[in-house]
Amino acid sequence: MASDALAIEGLNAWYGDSHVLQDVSFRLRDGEILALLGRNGAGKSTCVMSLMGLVARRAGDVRLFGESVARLAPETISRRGIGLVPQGRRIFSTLTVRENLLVAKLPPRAGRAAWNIERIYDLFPRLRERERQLAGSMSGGEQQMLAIGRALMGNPRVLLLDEPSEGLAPLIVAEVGRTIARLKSEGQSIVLVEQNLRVALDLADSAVILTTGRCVYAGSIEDVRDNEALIAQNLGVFGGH
Amino acid sequence: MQFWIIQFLNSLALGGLLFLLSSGFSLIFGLMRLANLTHGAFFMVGAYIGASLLRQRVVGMDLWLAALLAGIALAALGGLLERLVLRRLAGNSLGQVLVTLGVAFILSDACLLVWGGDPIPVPTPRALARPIFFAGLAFPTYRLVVIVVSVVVAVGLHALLERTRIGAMIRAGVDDMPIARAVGIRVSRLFTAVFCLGAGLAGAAGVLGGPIFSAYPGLDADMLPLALIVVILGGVGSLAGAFVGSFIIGAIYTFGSTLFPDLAYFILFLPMIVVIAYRPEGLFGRIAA
Repeated sequence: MASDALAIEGLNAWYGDSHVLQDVSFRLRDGEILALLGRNGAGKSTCVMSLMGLVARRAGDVRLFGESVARLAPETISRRGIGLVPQGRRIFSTLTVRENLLVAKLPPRAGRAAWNIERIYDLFPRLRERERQLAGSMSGGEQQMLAIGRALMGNPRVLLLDEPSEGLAPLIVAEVGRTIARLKSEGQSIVLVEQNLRVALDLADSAVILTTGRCVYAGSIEDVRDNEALIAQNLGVFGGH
Repeated sequence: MQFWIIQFLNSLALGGLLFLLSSGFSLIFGLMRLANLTHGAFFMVGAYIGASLLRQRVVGMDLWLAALLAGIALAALGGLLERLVLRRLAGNSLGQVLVTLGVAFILSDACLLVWGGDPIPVPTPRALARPIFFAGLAFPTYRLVVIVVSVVVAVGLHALLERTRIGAMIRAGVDDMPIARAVGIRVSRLFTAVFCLGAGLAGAAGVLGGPIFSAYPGLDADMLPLALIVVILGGVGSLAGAFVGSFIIGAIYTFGSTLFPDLAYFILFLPMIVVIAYRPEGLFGRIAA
């Protein structure tokens, strides 16, 4: 039986007075991809930022392979093994590509091949070509690759990907999709926030759907694919944008 | 001609000292979003420590050793201030302003208590007291040395920031603090390190400035506004900005107060107003001041 990589129990988060995440619970099994779905403003990014410890006011429990990380600081959560690819990429634009990777390097974890800059360059050869370039001068697709590479440098046990295909050309979306599939094949556990439902359906093993900060579905991805009412009600038009 | 050369070197020496003071101020502001109003007091305490050490004929303390010791003392003091007090005020700008200003007053009074109210002249090291003669003109050696030291420190800081992993981490923190933390950078340690570095540089600058300014009550309040103007002009968190800004302000202040003494402060603040109006992020900065 697969163990839980991530177990979230009754997660709540607030921005000021607005209660944007209400009692969200779900589990991500080790080595699987969980798609976190929902419309704009449903609370997906807030959920991801809360898991990373980046939302100041939050409550509930988050266990990473059984160990609670809910009350830790972001840098500690990162060191315990949650890696973040934030929405909008947020690469360090004034640093070079190489420096972006270098600053995010954390010690390897037992039992898994450690990521290093060379392996990231093998995964995204484009980054090797642009190694000395300022990250902010790259295209959106290249920045997305860098954001993924940067998160991998921390050897995460769970990778949080927040809208990795947002604003990218279809060819690049496909490349990002292949990368995610490859990471999964190497045993990487992933939480994937995605507006592009097709990408999510292709990649994920299970799904969680949020609507106005509440969890309205948690289960297999197949049931989402076949449930047009669920999609129409909570995700808008099939296929996303 | 001699007049202009002296004034020119004076302005560069002041610029160099301002750089030693404001580079730390700027890095602290850029990384921690904290306007450390204690920075001028660090400079003054450094000047007094330097004065005490250099005037002890028995020990015959070397200027460089005195600057190093004052730098270490102020770095330790700065580290304590950051760890014990400022840490608790993260995100509270008003609290930070009040506390750092309050600590500046405390240090200022402590200096008055220890060293008294009379200015303490600091002797120029004997080896550097004699001017260099070149082409029939006299060049004040100590000014030249201060300029060289500030350039060496600038190169060193640049190398630290641009060529090391720690430096890249500091820049990452300036660039996007929450994400820097999310990729595992221990920003709290960086804060302490940068604060110690800035305080240490300010203290060492106080020693080096001693033979030029002397150590006197109110030195802190004279230096702090200059550092503020430099950082606003050059751009918060930018080393290049602090460097260029320091020499601009050094020149404006020196020539302004020599040629138009009545307008010195006006001339000083004028470029700052222009920058705030037309380029609020400063000449080299990315964050609006």
